[in-house]
Order: sequence, then structure tokens, then C-alpha cells
Amino acid sequence: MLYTIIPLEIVFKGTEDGAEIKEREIINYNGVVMEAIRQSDGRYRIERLLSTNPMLYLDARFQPGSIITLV
Amino acid sequence: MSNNIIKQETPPQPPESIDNKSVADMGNNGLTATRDSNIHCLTIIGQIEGHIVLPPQNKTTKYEHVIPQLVAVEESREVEGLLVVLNTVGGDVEAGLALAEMIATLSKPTVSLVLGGGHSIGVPLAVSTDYSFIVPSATMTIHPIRMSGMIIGVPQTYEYFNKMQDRILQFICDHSHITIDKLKEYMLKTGELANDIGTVLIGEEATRCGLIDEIGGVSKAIIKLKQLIDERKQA
Repeated sequence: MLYTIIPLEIVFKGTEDGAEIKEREIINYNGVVMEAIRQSDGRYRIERLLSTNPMLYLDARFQPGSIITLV
Repeated sequence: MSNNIIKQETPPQPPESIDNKSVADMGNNGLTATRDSNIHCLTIIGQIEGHIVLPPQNKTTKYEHVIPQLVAVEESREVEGLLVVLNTVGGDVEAGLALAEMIATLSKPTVSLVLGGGHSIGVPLAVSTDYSFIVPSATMTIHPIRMSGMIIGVPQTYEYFNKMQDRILQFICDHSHITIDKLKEYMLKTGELANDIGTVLIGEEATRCGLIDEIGGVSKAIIKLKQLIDERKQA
């Protein structure tokens, strides 16, 4: 059951119409859990970090948009 | 550039060179230099995602991520306080209440800050902390629960809705200074929202009715959190 101000038909709207939205994956990179989008070359572009540690967000390596390689 | 210059001037340092090699070869660099903060920050953004996976156009905060984070905060020796930053449009009732109960039962000091919006199920989350702040421009919408899909037109449906609503309202009342009558009045008010019933509380209005403790931004929230941490240490 959803309790939200966004109309439910917008929440559940399919993505067939309009722009394609790339699926975000949850990855663990050096112990930092983040949401990233897989690039065509297999590397990942960071979307956002999933951490409560505020200092991680200052780390230049984890800025949104950075490209990382998972081993 | 600057790294190379430093390397030429100083004697080689084995650990660093290993690190750099692994960065070049595998893109793998050990997380060693991160400074740790004794205050951790939980950002609750977009939709609160619970039992149903939402389509990818929604920005979501997922309960399976946040619940373990809250356990980690409780268990961590370094973390002394938690700042909960909210900018949410609402979401799953069960997930929202689960997170709110987790935050409310943390033994460590917690302070919330509502930015932008803390609507619907964001309201119990905002009041779940020991102390709550809202910025003057933020809004909180209190409205009845709606349901999509097929609904059976029997009195039991209405009863079920009422029960779900009471769970939320009861939690809000237990963790803030607003009365249940006032809250119900806001929820069922007409003429405030276009095509709907409910109330939008803007910044100061949310503090005046006792829902949120104080008007303030990030600095006030951090100062309050540090004060609560000090009080806890002395106790």
C-alpha cells in the first residue's frame, strides 16, 4: 500500500513511452555500496552512493558521474 | 602531475606504489584514507520503496538498504549520532513505518531535517527522531491514504483503510506534540489541495501545530545533534 502525494498512475507508469531509462545496478566497489549504470564497455558510471558516512561523499573517487571498473 | 613530482623527490614508498599499480591495472584502490565522522547522515529521498519494486523512473530509497544501515549505525563504535535528511514524496506504508520505528528505537541521538518536502509517509519519518527541524521553505502534506486497483465496496474496506491510517496517525502523535484530533482535522480538510482533501503545512506551520520541533537548517540540526551526543555522554 502506497501513501504518497505522487498519483499512483505516475508511480507505476511504464517506461515504454518516452525516453528510455537505464536500469541502475547496486554494486559494491571497495566496500562502498553504490548505485551505478553499466556502460557499454562494461565499466560503471556512479549514480549515487548508498552510505550514511558523510565523508565518503567528499572522496573524489566516488563523485557521481565517475567511471569505475569492477574487477 | 603533482604526485609524480613528489615521487621524484622523496624515496619510493612501497605501499603507495602498490596502491597506484592496482589502480592502474585493476581500478582497485583500497579505502584507507577516508576520514570518519562521528555523525552519520541518512538521506531519505524520492519514493520509499517497500515490498513492491517501483519502475525505474522513480527515485527511491529502499528499505533493504536503509534497515541494515540503521543496524550498522546502532552497532558502530565510531558513530555517535544520526542526522536524517528528508526530501521525500512518500511511499510504502509498511516500509516507511518500519524505518520510522527503527529510527525511533535507536539508542543513539537522532535529529531529522525536512528539506523540500516530507510528505505522506515522510511525516512519521520526520517525527521519529529525538528532535526535528524543518527549513522555512519545506512542505509537508497530510492527506488520507488512497488505493489503486480493484476495491470491494463493503464497509470492511473502509474499516481497513481506517486501520492503516490510524497506525500512521498514532505513530505521528506518539513521536511529536501534535494531537490526534488536530492531525485528523488536517488530513480531512477540504479546500486546501486541488482535487483532493488534506493539508499542506509549510515550514513554520508545521512547527506551530507541534508536528515539528523547530525551524532550522543544517547547522542548527548538527548543533542540536552534538548537544544531544554530549548529553548522552554525560548521562
